[in-house]
Amino acid sequence: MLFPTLTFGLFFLCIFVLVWTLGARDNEWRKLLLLVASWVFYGAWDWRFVLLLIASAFINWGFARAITLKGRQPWLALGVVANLCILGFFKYFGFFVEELTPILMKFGLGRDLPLIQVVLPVGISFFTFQGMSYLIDIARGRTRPASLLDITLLMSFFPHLVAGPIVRAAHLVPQFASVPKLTRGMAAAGLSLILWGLFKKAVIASELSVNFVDPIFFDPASHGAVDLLLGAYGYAVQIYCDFSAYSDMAVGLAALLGYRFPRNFDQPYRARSLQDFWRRWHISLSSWLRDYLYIALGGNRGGLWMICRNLAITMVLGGIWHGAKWTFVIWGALHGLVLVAERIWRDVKPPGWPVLPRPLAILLTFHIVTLGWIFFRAPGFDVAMAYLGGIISLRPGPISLTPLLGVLIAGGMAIHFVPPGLLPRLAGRVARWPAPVLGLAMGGLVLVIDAMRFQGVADFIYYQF
Amino acid sequence: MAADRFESPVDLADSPGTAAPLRWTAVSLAVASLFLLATNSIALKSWIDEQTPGPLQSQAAALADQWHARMTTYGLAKPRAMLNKLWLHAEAPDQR
Repeated sequence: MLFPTLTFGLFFLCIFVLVWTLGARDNEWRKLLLLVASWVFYGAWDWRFVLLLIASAFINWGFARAITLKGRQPWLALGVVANLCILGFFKYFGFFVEELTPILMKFGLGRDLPLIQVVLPVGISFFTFQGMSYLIDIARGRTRPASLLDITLLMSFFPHLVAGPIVRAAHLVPQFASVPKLTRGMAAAGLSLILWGLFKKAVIASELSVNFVDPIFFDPASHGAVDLLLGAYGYAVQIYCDFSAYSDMAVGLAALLGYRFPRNFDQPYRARSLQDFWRRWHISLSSWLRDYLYIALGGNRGGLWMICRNLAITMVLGGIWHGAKWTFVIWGALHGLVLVAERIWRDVKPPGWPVLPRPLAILLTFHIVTLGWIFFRAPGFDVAMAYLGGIISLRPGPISLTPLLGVLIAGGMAIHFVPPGLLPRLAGRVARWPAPVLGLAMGGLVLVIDAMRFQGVADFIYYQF
Repeated sequence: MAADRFESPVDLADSPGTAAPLRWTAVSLAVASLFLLATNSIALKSWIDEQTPGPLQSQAAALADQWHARMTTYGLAKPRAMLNKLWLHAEAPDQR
């Protein structure tokens, strides 16, 4: 069930009515209602995924109780390992079998490998990371143990379930304590985010994906250098408009149900360094990696060498989090390398040396990020290298960019340079409108978006993670 | 706990009055839904056509067809059709 579809729209309208009528009287019933709704939402992909989700919630609830009652060790380690096993089996089993097969075949052992096709449950990386952070926060005393219902709802809550943001227990469980209060400001901001997300996904991301980026990445060898470069820019805009759209809609939908989710994007392509980029892109993942991996590795302690090592390990593992592919490893390693280079430069830069002017720093950072996106998007290492080779060799060729696609790429970039508080200010004004006026405005905007959208809706890119 | 505090995009600096926020939201959603039911009847028709065939689906499809025909007669389906035509024209490969 995809957000920008009529099926989801009708589903959400039913849930909205039910939670604010039946669910308004009793908070426990409200949470149960949301839980069942979340399972229906998730079960629309495959009902077996729901069983995994429930099992995962039970495991984390059980280990959290063990940590609270019997102490941190070994329960924290066991709990984290349990989550990693779930993630490892479903996400990386196929990759390891594929990589090991040629090696074992050499020793005549390949035929003994299990022939299992593991189906990747949608959003598994998100809810297992959520489970791990919950256990670590319990052990660190940063959050209180939640009831079984609360932890199950935390992990299953449909707005964030399949592609984040990674909402931590400390963010959401306290909000489950009572029936939330909806304010006009929250509702206006939520509705604005949903419409904005719908536009970014259904119009910009879908159009760029189907009519420009996908054909170029499918066969880079048949495109010239300019087309390849524009294709990479197109993908940079597409992935931003796709992923940030999901986050916007998730935040907006949760707001309409009365819950606050954290910010996940903050105009990432206006970043002046890669460190700045990671403070603006997928903030819930970057802060997760910082708090639960980078700091656990030692963080900023131990001198420059250790900091660089920790940065590199964190980013490579961050790359692997996205999937079991070498291109993700390279993507993570590239980010890690540049972060290390930035860190070293900050330490060794002679005093008095000029700083790169802001526009140049933004341009340079954007191009490093776009270089990474080529590996991220390419189906394999060979395609990524062919893509880069086509650009470097300045291969001539026709340009497949239409004026419309050019406008969408330029628009997707321009989003990053509007005043950051524009949408909240707009929502603040909208909140003062009479309800029928707002209803007509929303209906009009959805109509325009629907007339512009590409036939059908592709999955969100981050569903695969 | 400090971890409970975080920034959310739905936190507005100047939060307006709280008069009947739920009713305000519900009426907005209801008006938007009715507006779309009238002006975007093609979406409803297409959605029902895509559902698994069966007695209920065929009944719903017949009703959606009638509804769409009526909205077209009233001219309410025209704005969407015009916008879509303009968009498809802009999308066309010969615009390169």
